[in-house]
Amino acid sequence: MIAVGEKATPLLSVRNLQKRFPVRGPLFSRQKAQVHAVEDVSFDVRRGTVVGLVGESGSGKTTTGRAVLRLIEPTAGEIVFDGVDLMTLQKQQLRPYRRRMQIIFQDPFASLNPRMSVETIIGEGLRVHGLASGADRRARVVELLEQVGLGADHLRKYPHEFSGGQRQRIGIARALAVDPSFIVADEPVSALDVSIQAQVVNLLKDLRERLDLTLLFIAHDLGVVEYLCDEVVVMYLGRVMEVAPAKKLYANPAHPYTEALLSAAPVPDPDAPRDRIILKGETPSPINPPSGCVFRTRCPIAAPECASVVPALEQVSEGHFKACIRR
Amino acid sequence: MTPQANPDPILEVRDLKTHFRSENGPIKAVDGVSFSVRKGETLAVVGESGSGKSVTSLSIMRLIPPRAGGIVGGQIIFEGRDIAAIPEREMRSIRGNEVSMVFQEPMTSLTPVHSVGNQIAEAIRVHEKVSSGASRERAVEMLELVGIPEPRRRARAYPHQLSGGMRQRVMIAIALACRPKLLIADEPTTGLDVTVQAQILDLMRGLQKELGMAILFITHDLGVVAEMADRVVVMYAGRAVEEAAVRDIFRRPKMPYTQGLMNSIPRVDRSLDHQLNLVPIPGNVPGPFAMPIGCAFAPRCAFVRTPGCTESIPPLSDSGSGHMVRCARWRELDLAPEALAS
Repeated sequence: MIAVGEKATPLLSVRNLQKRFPVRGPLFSRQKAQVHAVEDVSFDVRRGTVVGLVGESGSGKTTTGRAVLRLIEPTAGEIVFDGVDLMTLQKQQLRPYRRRMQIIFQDPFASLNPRMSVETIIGEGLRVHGLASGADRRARVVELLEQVGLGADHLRKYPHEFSGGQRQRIGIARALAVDPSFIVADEPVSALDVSIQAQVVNLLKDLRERLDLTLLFIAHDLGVVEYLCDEVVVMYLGRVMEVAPAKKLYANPAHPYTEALLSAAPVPDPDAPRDRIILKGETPSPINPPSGCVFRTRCPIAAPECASVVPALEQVSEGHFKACIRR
Repeated sequence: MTPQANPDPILEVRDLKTHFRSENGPIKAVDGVSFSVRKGETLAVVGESGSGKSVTSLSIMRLIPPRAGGIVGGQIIFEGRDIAAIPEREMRSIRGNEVSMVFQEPMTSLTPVHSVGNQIAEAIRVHEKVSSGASRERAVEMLELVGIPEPRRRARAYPHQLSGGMRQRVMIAIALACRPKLLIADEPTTGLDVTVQAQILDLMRGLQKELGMAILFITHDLGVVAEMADRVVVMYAGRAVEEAAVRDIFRRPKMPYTQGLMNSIPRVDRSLDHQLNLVPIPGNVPGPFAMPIGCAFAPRCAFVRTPGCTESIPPLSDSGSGHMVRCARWRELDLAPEALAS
């Protein structure tokens, strides 16, 4: 279990979250196979903090982000948001939480309706939740546009008239419109060019300070996560490998996977030391994940006993946890 | 305009212009690019979307679909011959043989209907008179060379049965099957996970050492540039804006755009206390029909001066020892990296 660093209850507590997707099994077999997308994932997000969820493809980070919002129905687990376990609520009872929890998507080209004007896109949440109408709504949309660095002159424009970075700003304004207390940002800058990526990352950083936002920031870029996040959850093949304050994670990674991941990130400095850990092979299939520790098939320090036990998250130091029996 | 004569260039691109047709007039995707690749070295061409880096590589391979556009000016000198001007028939004996290419998306560049072993063998038989048995044997050797375990068994696999990293290894095996003198790698690790990217970059470095080919490495990732390149060309809006040895590009960038790129990347190699604030480049790359008259970067540049920067396109000048820079103000600016970052 994850201890809470501060006395205040976290805004979000995810406990033993599991999501399995059914897939067709082998031909002529009656047995149904399952994708083990997320297995036994637990973490906290404290108020006013940004928690990074990092991992490579197949790590389950995106599924976790969506399951937390119940955009994907989890198979099991608890999602305690502001004291209420969202898993116990009916669809209708979820409605107020739909306002308080928002999402920013990765692809700024696919996530905005091309037939809606910017005013309609950003104002939709206000309309749906009955928060503002008429001139009030327009004024709020203008305020939001300014908050994300766009002007009122964009109100009547359509998504195709904007660049990727501007569209992502619109996506951020849409998420902020209903004054949420929690936002899941799912790879919001991955599709952008570096010069534009830095603009959007700085915008998120600035908004977070000004609006006291609580964010779950999903990313595969470790540099962006270090820049923006207070705490980091490292996932691999559906499971949590390590949880730590960002500073500790980058300075002293405790899990061999985190270590390999950090050492694999290319550093923009030709003189940087390159004592790289190159992992063998690739992430195994989540349909039939390895027994015991899911990372053991690629782990440079795996031992026979790693195949028999799923390692629990153990505390390394205050707020720092790792799931590895070899360290 | 042309950079000074380089020792032993294997490829010299001189004032290359590749334009595309469109309803609104020509799109000047590459508009006067010059650089050279020396034997055995890795030259990285780095740029963001719309910089023209990929069109440059496709132009060298003569793979621009004629319906869409083509090379409208300049020369591409490969081993003393202008391959921009030779007939397609002659180009076919060079492409995939002396110059070959690895693309970003290995799934779409491999055919799904043949085993990977056959695809490598086919690439060999196109250029060399060898029996099908011998070419298949070479295919297995190539798979082994690119680090695919159980190469004999894997030669019978189809692309969909392999992971993304394995497919990219197969692409590299095909590209290297005829021992090219120049390998063009266009974003070969983009879209791969970082741990797999590290494997592929490591493989490419090893193969270059072993086979001695030159690599033209096209990428948007400055981290990958720092790891792979001997020299670097930075492209912006269809032109080269800076060219230098890799250490000079990172330590002493002279073009404000290059420095802007450096200040835009969050880095994992610094502790948080030393993590500098990101200083983004404001604005966007100009669209193809909204190109400024002067320096293409001027509308986003913190150092812009009128009229010097806005009236004519600055030339690519040698600032000393082959460090080329396209900036009207390079003499006055001192762009030590992080000088701007607060």
